[in-house]
Amino acid sequence: MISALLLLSSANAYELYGDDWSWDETSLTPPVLLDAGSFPPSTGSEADIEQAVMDGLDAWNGVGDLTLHLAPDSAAWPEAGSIRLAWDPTVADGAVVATASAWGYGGTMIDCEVSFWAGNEYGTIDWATVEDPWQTDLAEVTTHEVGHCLGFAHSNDWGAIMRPVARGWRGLDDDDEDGLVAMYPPCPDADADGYACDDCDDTRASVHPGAIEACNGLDDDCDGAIDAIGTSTVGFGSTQSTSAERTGSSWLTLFDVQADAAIQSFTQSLVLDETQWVSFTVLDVTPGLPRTRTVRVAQMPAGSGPVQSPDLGVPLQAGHRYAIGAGVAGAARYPYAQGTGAAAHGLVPVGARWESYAPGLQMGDQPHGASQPHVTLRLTDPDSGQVCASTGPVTPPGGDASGDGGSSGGCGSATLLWFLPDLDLLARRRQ
Amino acid sequence: MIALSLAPAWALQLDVPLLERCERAPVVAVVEVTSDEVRWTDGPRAELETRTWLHVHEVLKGRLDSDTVETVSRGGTLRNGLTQRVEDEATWALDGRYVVFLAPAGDRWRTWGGELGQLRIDRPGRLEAVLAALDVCLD
Repeated sequence: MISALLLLSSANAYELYGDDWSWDETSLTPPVLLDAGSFPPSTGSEADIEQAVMDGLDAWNGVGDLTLHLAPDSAAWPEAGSIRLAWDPTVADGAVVATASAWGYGGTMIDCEVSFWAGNEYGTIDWATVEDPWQTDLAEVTTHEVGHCLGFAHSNDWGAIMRPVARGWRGLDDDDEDGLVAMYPPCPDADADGYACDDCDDTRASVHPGAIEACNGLDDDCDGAIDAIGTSTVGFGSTQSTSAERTGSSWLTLFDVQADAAIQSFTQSLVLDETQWVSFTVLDVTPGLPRTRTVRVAQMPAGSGPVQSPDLGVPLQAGHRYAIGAGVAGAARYPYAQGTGAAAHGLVPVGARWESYAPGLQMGDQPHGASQPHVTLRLTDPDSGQVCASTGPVTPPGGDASGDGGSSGGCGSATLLWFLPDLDLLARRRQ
Repeated sequence: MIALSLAPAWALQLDVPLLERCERAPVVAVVEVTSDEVRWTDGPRAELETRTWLHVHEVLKGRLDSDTVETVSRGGTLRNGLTQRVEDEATWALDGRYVVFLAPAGDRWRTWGGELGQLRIDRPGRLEAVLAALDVCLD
């Protein structure tokens, strides 16, 4: 801005948008999307434009906890939540050559769009991909405009890239760097585990993104969940069973395990009109592998609502697919079971007789995922409600394993739905 | 927004001087902000705009038909906190006094060059200093 104004304004340092107009900690590397094809050919080749923009972005890298880079295949990214750069054929007001329009909510930057104008009241703007005193340097302007997208307002420091007028050379000065460090403080790696700002616990080398989650009361893998099994997908799929007498249908719950864990118990809502034997089954249905089944049977009183299995202690292996569920068994007549839980299910009809279900039901062969609703499996401590999982078979904890003084009851229950007669059990009981 | 210097980009001392801004603006006036309103624009792009009403104390250059002018600028903050910040757009302090360089924008006005077109008069003697700097431009 002009010298007369400088005399009227305070003379120092960077300015930020509000108290904290920065990108959220979880997205310190917002994707930068460039529409290189929008620029007129006189600017240079698209490769040259990309390089100039990358040079402009690089000026911000390596100072604070921030890494900016062009997203590959910009067109494939959703626009929201990004920094977007494009040439605009509009003739801007006054002497403006480029404008950043930043969106924020609750003090957090959520979106930003930069327009490199075709011209202004002084004529056409000649954009250049190299430093040329007679043209407007795309790299320098990119650095400035992206600075706004990072949360900077204009600086009164006359040497700063964030001053309101084009400076004529690239890079940051001390004022810009001071502001960047204040807004995006660099992080030390105190525990020397190779992770810094994205390390959710810089005092434990065993805790970092990508670590194996252990049942220890810690968020070992920094995914925001303590003792979580990770992101396991649960799919609901139907399977048909046929026999000479009738055709019935059953429901089962499938989930893929993405980290070694164990399921200690689970609950399922059932409607029991009399005291029933209920079988709780965990079945490894990994395609191409022999199926292994773990069954626990318990007698449950009449009533409706969640029914919790006895201790299962079934190890779950990463990369395997499991079916899980509970069903009435061994009664002379069969009520219906109604599933509830993470996904809505209707009544699940049960055949009039167990015999009507043919052996060899093809559990797990149904496609799951693509067309079925999904939920995320979490094993939760039934006493504390704490999400809990293990890197191996869970031994029912006898003490306060987490050391946090909290409850350490059974390690895990999951409210999941499955209804499937346990045919092996049935066969044994009929003998 | 980066304001273009008049010749080479590094010619910082030639950036749009106060006097030139005065010469390029059809209207220069001393105003006071009375009210504002932020709303979504009607255009295809989802944007906010701030409408600001200024009471005109004195017209220094050009002509205004009313003692109130309405200006419009990109961006603003909605009541729910959603904010669009467009650098170098004029921003106003309610009840603040300004010397403004105005250019028509349809049936409303905008400040010439965004924030370049507004000078806050918030200290004794500032108005006199600005008027002295603009003297040869004013009517």
